[in-house]
Amino acid sequence: MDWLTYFLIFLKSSLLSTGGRGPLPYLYSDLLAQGWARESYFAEALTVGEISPGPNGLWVVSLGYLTGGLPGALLATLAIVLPPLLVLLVARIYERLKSYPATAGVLDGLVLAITGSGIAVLFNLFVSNGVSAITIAIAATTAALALSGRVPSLLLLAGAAAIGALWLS
Amino acid sequence: MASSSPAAASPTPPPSLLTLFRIWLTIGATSFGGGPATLLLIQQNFVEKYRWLTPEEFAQSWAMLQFAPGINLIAVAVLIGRRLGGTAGITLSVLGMLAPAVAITIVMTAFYTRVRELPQVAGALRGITPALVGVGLALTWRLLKPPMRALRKRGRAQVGIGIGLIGITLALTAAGVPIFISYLVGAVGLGFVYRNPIPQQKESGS
Repeated sequence: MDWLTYFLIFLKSSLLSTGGRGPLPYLYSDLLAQGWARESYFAEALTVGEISPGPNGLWVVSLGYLTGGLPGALLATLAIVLPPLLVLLVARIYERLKSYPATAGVLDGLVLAITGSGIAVLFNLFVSNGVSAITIAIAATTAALALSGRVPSLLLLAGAAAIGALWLS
Repeated sequence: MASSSPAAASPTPPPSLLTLFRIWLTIGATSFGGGPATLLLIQQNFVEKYRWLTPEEFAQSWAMLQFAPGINLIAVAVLIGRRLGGTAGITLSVLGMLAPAVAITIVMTAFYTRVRELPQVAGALRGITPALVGVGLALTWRLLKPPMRALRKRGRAQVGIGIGLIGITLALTAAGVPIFISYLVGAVGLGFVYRNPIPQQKESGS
């Protein structure tokens, strides 16, 4: 494995996105293209990120471990620590940045793009996992319950895991 | 005359670096349940319990975060760290939050790789994956609300452009075009639209 390329893939995914799930489309396409990840790694890592302490974005560390062992996890950690430091720069120019009309457009446009690309990746994850009546029902139910905001996502995942262990194993 | 009005109480003087580090370590080690749990603990400790930050300061930090790349909660740790302890505060805050959390994440992943061959575990993952997709769709919907609200204020044509951009970026990614191109299309596209709005501005005094 070429560790420099590996690190740069992770760094880019965090630097050019925002939020915990932002890196997903990048990592999904780049790591699969290099042959360094299997489809199932992404669901595995995302699950660990939901359960373990700290930001959900630490799913990237889990993905680092799955794809590159301990060195992979540590490189992934470094790659997600560096970009948020840029908030210091942002803080300095925040007031000026805020007043440009184009700034809000760039940020809103980024969210739209994250949404569009994100849906494509979610669709791929879903299909590669296996399409059946049960998986469709799980996706639809969790989407509805998560939207209602009344059920913590951790509980939704636990329920889905139980259903999977009983009927999908 | 008001000698001790709790409502007007200014934030308490900043903690020692050691205390700051200890609090972040505790947050990083105990916030099982990912981001929501972590955010809650940060708020409880720094705003409510010790009052080193006012709720307004905290809300302002949040607003600024949408301009920053990467994981928002790490940027929060950076901002709080600088506010309470300068450069050393930043280092200790980020390190304190992440060291235990990253270690636990790695241990959990390592444990998972030992049991992933078990049929029940494999089945559980096949059940979890569509749930992650469902939760992801809900997150996407929520993420989408503020920009769509902003577009609606700007008129019907802009809403159409917004929906068009979602469709284009979705199609680009599905076609295997590099993600960066998608993000560029979205950011530049809407940045241009906001700079050159279709005129229907209404002044509302505030």
